[in-house]
Amino acid sequence: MVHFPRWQIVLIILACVLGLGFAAPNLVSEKNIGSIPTWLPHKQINLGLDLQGGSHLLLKVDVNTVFREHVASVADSVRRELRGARIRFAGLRVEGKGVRFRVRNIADIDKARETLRNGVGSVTTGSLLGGGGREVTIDSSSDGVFRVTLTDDAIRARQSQAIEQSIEVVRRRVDELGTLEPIIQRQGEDRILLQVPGLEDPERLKRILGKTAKMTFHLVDQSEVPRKGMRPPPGTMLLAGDQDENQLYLISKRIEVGGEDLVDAQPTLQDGQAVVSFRFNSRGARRFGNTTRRNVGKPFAIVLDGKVISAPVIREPILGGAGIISGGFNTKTAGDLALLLRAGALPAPLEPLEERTVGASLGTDSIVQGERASVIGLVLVIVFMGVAYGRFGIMANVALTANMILLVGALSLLQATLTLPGIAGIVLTIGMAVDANVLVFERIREEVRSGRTPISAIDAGYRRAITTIVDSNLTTFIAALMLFFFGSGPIKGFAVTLSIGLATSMFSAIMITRLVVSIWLRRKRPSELPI
Amino acid sequence: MALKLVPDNINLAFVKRRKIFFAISAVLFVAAVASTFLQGLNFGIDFKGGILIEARNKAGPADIATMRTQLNTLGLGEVSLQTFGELSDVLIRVEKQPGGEKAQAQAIRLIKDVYSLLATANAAEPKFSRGRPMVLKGKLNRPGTTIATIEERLAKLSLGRVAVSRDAASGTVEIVIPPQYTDSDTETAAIDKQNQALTRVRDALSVVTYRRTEFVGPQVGGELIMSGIWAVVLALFGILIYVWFRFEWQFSVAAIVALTHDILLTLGFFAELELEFNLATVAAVLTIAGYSINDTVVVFDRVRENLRKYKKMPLPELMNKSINETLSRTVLTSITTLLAVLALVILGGQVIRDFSLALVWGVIIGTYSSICLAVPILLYFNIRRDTFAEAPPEAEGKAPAE
Repeated sequence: MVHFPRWQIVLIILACVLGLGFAAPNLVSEKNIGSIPTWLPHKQINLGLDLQGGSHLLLKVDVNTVFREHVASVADSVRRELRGARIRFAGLRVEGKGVRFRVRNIADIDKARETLRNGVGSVTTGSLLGGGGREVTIDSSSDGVFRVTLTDDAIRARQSQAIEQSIEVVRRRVDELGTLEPIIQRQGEDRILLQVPGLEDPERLKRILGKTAKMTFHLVDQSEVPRKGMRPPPGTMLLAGDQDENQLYLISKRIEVGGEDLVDAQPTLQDGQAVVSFRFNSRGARRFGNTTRRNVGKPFAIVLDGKVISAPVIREPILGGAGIISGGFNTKTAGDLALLLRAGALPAPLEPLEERTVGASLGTDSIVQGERASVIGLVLVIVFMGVAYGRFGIMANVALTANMILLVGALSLLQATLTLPGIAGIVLTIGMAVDANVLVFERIREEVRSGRTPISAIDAGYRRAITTIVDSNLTTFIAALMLFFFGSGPIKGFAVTLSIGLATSMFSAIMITRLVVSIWLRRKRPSELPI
Repeated sequence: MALKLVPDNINLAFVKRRKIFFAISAVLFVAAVASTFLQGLNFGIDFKGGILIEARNKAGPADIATMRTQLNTLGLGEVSLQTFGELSDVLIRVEKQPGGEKAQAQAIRLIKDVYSLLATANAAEPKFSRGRPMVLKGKLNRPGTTIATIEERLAKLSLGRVAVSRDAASGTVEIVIPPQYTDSDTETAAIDKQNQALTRVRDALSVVTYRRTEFVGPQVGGELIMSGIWAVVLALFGILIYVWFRFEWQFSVAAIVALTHDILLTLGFFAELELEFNLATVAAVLTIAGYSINDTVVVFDRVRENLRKYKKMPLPELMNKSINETLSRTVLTSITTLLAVLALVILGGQVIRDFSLALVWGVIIGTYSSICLAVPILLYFNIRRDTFAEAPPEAEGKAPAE
């Protein structure tokens, strides 16, 4: 225990030097940090939002909307396929996780089943694992009632997709703001965590995210004149104009082309008027081409977030996949719309569940106060250890200082986020770090009292104390681990500093203090211990 | 030369007085439970949802009474105000608003209106429109405010020519903020620059600066409670298993009894002093558990060692010896930890003051419970000495390695 092989000494010194190296960039001011060559450690501790100032938003993706649309699309397919096969049916409506309807003619049951099986029934969920199962199950009874129900897998797959897409859209929109360094993460089933340092007005963010910008193209139903308060015929919906609330449109519910197939949108001028030009991917282009070819002369509605932007009449088939939206825009509104379309549509509305914003001034105050508390805490402990253990106390203080350097170095290297409770964790570590030393020193005192020689006492002291040190630190570590897994944000930061602090304090007490004690023993060869 | 806080051959009768300690703990325990359930914990918004705003009065010390009266006119339900650290800083807590998450956002706007020269929450949101100025509409709000005061405040922002006008009939004030971007800015950059200007205008009109704004929806609050409870329960379970594995089941049960005692006493401490109970408090509770078990394990370790060493010594005497032998260490470590945590209470700032106070309390009761509860409790379990009878790894009197 008192003897160190050469390689161990080299490793301990190396660890300290590395710790110092990784901790050093924190002494450099923010402005000059860029001038450190990249081959040297150049990362500073990552400050959490509560220290840096910024906004934290927890958003919920409204999966109910996704689900409703999913079911509606099934209803749509069923209707189309039955009509295509000339099967007469009635009472098609959404029920639970699917749709139900009744074939008018009992003789059509088998034909209907066959048609649906080859149609909607053949769609797979398309999940990456195992190719996915069928999207729907089809049940029929002898009296002609059919139920087409979405499988749970299909619902889950679609919702998961919607959340991924939402994250992507949020990322793109926030990225367009430039300079900010956002953290965007999926959380749990249906949530997105968005953290933007340096942004003190969450309204700014929400304004960018608020628009769902869901654009769809629909045919206009011309069978009836739209009136306020009318009951729209089955398969259609009554929508208001985007510019003029009183302008009503009767729109077919069926989505001809969706915004997800859009690849580009730009504001341009056409005949002196501001318009938005757009382009589809190949799938969108094909659908758009088919629809426009079949419906020349009919109005075609462009719907954004439940409002009709315009419903121009199709003059000729548009086969190239590119088109123009004109709808009484000015340069600004055209620009806005193009941006929203370009950034992609959010598949469902986002709802803020939790919002925390810390101003930079509070963050700076917290850092100053935290630093002051750490330094004063450290000084108090160092003085106390010096008084309580004399020369050995000074040796423990060397280790305590090394411990702080290692801790800061480790936090910088791992780029762990330091939060305000994290600073508290560091201060607590200062107090508890000397515990391992105290355990050893008390043990050595006991061994001296029982009449051992200095070297023998120190050797036995370390040997016996180590199991206690490991046991007591591991139990604390268990608590820290639970904090890490169940805590959120700042609390996680506390768990991280506490855990790293436990590791570095064990290392510094068992290795560094012991090395210092061993060197001292070798130099002085004391006949009695000043402990 | 070194200071000895605890004399070498100290022998305090801890185990003999165990009944007294049990009685003290029982009383404290009952008081804590009663306080927790009768008084109730002062849950922060983390757990019960709601709004928390930390505002700093620009003109020096804040007049809490007036601020409270103004807020109460909003009809937002339970509103609490308190100074926070400095006299100019006020912490505003508003209970969760009926209605969805949108209702919370509107409540925040209404609160911010109270402290603004211009009430804008009920007017339409200013719209961004490329190439056109942005218009912020609202009503003059605080007594003595005129168009001139608003103009004066906005002039300092250097946003170009900001026009302020008031419609005599409706009383609506319009602030016209000229475009803050150039033609080369992309759409998003332009939106953002303009919104930033809007934020600065709003800040300038406010009589306070907002240091913190938090809102937690009801749904998240419930989940945070659950994850907090889980964290504590699983931490206790993990410790139970570890101590069982390293010692014996009796030790592990005694440790858990002591830990539960510490945790409940901490809850009682929070309830009695009406400190805010939030996520950070859960962290404090777990840290206290971690500290207390650390202490307990050190004494247990010595009990185990002495069980091997003194095969004939009666258990109460053996346990008391173990406590006294480790007493010096216990006291020293508690002092260093207390020194550090006290530095945190005094200098660490208001935001984590409750957290730091809880740690001070935890260090004290954690130390107490390790010595006066965990070890004496062991007596009541039938500890079999032969469990630890196998030869200790380091035989007595063996020559040192050097």
